[in-house]
Amino acid sequence: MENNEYIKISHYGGDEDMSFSTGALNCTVTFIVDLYKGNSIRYRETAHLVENATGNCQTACIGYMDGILKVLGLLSLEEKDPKVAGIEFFNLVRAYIGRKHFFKKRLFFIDIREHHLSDVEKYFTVVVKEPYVSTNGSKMVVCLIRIPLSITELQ
Amino acid sequence: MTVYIQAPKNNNKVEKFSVEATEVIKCSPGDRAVIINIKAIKANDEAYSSNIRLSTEPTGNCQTALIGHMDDLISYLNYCSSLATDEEKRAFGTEVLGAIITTVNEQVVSFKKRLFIIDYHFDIESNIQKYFQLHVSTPYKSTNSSRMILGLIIMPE
Repeated sequence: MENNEYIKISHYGGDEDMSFSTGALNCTVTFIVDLYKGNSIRYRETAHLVENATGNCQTACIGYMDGILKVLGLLSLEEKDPKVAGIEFFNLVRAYIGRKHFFKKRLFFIDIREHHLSDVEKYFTVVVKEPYVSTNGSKMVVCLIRIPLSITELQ
Repeated sequence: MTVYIQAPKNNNKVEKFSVEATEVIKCSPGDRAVIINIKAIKANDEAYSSNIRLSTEPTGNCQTALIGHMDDLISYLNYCSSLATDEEKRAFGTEVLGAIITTVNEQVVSFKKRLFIIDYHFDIESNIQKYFQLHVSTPYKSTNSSRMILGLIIMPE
């Protein structure tokens, strides 16, 4: 990553970060991902993370993964391992979410178009992937990716 | 609005089944998180009630939704149709899924999705297959070493 290039995770202005009255069935955190170059925003995407989406406390779900991949693809990695860039990005997300939640999950569901799979495999460790044809005929892949909490966990 | 479902013939004496969205959170941009209460009431007013959760667009893909707490849904379906045949169980599972879709459609948001992402423990695999039509499924080991399955169920047209 070039010295003057960085990613910032910030608050989305909508109804994010809310929990149900049932407590344990908590909800979605929507966030803005900005890629800065110097003082100006070069690219902006919105993504979200659904905690306890399936009721399994070991996993969460990432929404709008294509946007996250776009931001990561715009980063100048230079000599850096792309998987390290993936971990660093999610550490920013965890730090943002960690303000209000205790968030140490490593397994995340994603649902992407088939042509995005190679990018996902570049930045993240894919635990399982299952291709399917969507109801509108799109070629999709539902995946579970593992994102370590630290770079040392990757080695 | 509560959607009532027809009971299977051998229904363990359950008289009424109902599905109702009890709590909705507007997430963004397209996601709605919905708590859905599923209830079975016997003739003696004894009731079985469980909550599941539905995310209308958790991954950003407008073709898929996600149903959480499948173990609770399976417990409910087993309670309601423990004496039913496998064919009746599939019909009942489809009917409950249809009622969930109708509930979301009428109470929350225009909803015509037929694909639902699910994540469940290996132990309930046979029950999932009895009640629902699995589109795809793949096993994995969770971070706590539980044997889990990631899958997609499809609502028949």
